[in-house]
Amino acid sequence: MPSVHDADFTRRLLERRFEPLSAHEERAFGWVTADNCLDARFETGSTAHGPCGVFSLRIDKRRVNSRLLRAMMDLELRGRRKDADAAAEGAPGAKKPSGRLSRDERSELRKALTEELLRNTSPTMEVHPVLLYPRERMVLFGALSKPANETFRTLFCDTFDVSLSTLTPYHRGLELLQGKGGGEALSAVRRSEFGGPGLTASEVPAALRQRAMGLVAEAAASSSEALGDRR
Amino acid sequence: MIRAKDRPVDERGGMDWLGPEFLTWLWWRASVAPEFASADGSSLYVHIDEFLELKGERAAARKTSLRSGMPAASAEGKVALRNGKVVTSARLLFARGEEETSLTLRAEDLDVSGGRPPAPDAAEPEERLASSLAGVRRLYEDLDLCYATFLAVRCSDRWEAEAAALRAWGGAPSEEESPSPTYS
Repeated sequence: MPSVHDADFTRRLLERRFEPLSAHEERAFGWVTADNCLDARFETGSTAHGPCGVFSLRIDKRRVNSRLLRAMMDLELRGRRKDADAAAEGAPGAKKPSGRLSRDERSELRKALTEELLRNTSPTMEVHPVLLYPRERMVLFGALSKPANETFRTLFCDTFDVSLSTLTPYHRGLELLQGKGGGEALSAVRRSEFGGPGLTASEVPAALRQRAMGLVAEAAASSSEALGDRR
Repeated sequence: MIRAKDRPVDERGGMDWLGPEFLTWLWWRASVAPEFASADGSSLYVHIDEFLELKGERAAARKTSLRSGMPAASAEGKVALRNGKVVTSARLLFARGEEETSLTLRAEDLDVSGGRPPAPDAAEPEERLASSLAGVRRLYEDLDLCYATFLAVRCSDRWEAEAAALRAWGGAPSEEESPSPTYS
């Protein structure tokens, strides 16, 4: 990872900066500055706050309202049927057109209406902060939603040519135990039970354990006998 | 965590239970000894706030969600614990002197949501941002302090005694379960 004060860091952000949606696009995402979601003009060192790099991920989405599209389709089809009926009345003796559209024509119409609606629909905007600590190899992303996280992961990996791993309890444990045995210390740890019935094996008295093993053996023997009888 | 592209990693190490175990321990610890000592000599106090969620496995897989009214001291929480459930999510309150930070911690991935660090009192936007960043940093440091304290016990010989104390605490009646006075 380049340093947050580095020109290379800024160059990488600029390469993947947010570009507004074009008339036909449904989704756009990219980096913007932390203090203004309309500003994607990064300058060297402008994202640096001490050892931390701060910027934001902006995701714009434009979605056609399916109910509106259905209603517009319906109006358009009704209008065409009416036109067809009017044309038939004006030309007596000619074969009455059905006014029905073929599958391809319907698909074309749907596409044209979708594009018209897209042009007239304002996009929704999400902005999520990103805190990057290159020295600790840690990045904090300010959203828990799965789609936002997936977009972030993809864009971050493309921008900085690295991979991201979730900082799970296991991983954080390994890091915090560094110098204290780390992986070895954790690997010796076994799950504990805190509930009533959850005694660990070592807590079960030896006599009880033997009795339990005896019962298991008896059950196994009787079930194999039963299976033998059936055969 | 950032890593080089050619280094695959096992994200959970087969220890999915570590997070819930930590949060269950933290519930107990916040109830009996809420003070955590930082390396700089200051003290952090941990309190379970208005939300506690417990979940078990197999027969006890149903979720117990407790909201408002001090869930950490509730009978339902302890009953769930006795039935083999562990804490999967909790609203925590970290107090350091006058400063208070609240957050919801999900045990599975130690995901933080609804984090509310102390409000920055600076007037300038730049100072406010710096103050917010310091608050977020402090939140994660405090979380690390709790987790490191847990791991220090968890990976030592002291764990069995600590787990036994937790079980005993879970087995004891909560304030709500204490017998009510009888009238003759």
